[in-house]
Amino acid sequence: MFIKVLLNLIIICCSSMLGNQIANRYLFRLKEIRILQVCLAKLETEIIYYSTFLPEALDNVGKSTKGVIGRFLCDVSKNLTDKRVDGIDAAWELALDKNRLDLKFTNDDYEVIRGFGCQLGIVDRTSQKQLFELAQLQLKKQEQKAEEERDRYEKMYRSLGFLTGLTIVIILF
Amino acid sequence: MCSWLDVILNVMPQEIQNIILSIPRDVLISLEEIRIRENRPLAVISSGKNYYIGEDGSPCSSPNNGYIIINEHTQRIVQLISNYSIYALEDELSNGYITLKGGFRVGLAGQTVLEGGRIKTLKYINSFNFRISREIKGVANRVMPFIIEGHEVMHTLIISPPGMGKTTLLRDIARQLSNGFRNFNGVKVSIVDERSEISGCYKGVPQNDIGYQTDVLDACPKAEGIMMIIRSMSPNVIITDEIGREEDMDAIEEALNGGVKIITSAHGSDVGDVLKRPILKQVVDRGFFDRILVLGNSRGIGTLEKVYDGRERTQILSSPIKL
Repeated sequence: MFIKVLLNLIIICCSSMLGNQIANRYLFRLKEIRILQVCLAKLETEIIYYSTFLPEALDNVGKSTKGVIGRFLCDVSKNLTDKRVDGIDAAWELALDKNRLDLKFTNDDYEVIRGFGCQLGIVDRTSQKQLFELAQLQLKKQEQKAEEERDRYEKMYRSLGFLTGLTIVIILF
Repeated sequence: MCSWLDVILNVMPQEIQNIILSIPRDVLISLEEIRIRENRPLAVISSGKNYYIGEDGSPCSSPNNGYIIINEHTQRIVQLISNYSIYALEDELSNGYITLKGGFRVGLAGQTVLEGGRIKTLKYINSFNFRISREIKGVANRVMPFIIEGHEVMHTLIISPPGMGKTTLLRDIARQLSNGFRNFNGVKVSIVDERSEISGCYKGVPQNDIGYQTDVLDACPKAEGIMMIIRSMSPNVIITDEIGREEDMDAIEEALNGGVKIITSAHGSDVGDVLKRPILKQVVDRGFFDRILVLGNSRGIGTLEKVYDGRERTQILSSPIKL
């Protein structure tokens, strides 16, 4: 009897955790988009107002940012200074690949980040400014979407996880 | 090997690096320029001669065997020489060149972007001229007697066609005047280096040996720079490159009348060429310069062909000297 109760509890715990995991993706994606927006604003200051060289600028912003986004930006900077890659777009791509497991972005988000990354540093100051404005605008949109999705799915997956566990327990016993 | 190779290879795509490294040693060692032009063969200038470079690094005179540069190469070079930061180099681009670490200059050509009628920056950059400047210490040894009389430095104009070692000479003159030699005590020298070529500044710090008592105003327009440095650094001698604009003359006049000695250069192959240019003619005619030196290549690059007394316009040198 005791073992039975224990097993039931384990099943419910596991499925709740699974539900939470999925729900957290929505939460973290939103957080990451917001952090990225702040990073781009910092990067814009470095580039437009201080004319810092790109690898240095990325490193500065990356180091002042916690978590996976900070690591990602530092990686791009490192790829550029080590000259292991052919061009800025490859450096960006390599860093994305390396951090893909920790990043919670969706494919749409990646598109925005890539579109921004491949133009960075290869155009003049005016175009650079426009690039930042465009990226911020697109990120804003992604942020809204992420927010909607979070509102819609976060709670749902959490309850779903718990309820699925409960259902399994009821059916089994 | 020599440091220029490291600096320049560092900003080249891998394929071109390999080709340059396989150029025969005798050509490589006296390399003066590396020319990269999109859709055209890779070319180098070595000991004054033009070579096209094949895929295996072999120099040849026919362009047909040359390694063709493609768009990806030029794109990559732009990213590398600008350190992925075109936006930070707009001023340099509007002048048409970038200075690399070590003072090596890369000349650029592409499409200019105008703003208010002035060149703002370059885009579609597709031609590069990597100039390998060489520091030759002691190149001015045999010139010094002509530009110093007793303990006085003379106002000097050096006339030379491009590529005859004018800048190398100016650099060594700066070093010798500033450090002093035999029975000449060093004086305070200021270089107004509009094109960052004499001192080869990287981030404002001279990369070439220009002497212990030399101050450099880097990337500064000559006219304003001369006025500024007279006030700020109280030099005995000002050295500057390639004069020719009207405002340069005003600044030079100011310096001459202020008791500061000027050593400068102009393009041309003899005094006659210089006299054809109205602005330069003025200064020469008015006898501002005590000495006029003419460089050429009758005995190889860097031959001192003629030395004129600036006032009398008489030749002092009996026969050309290879520096």
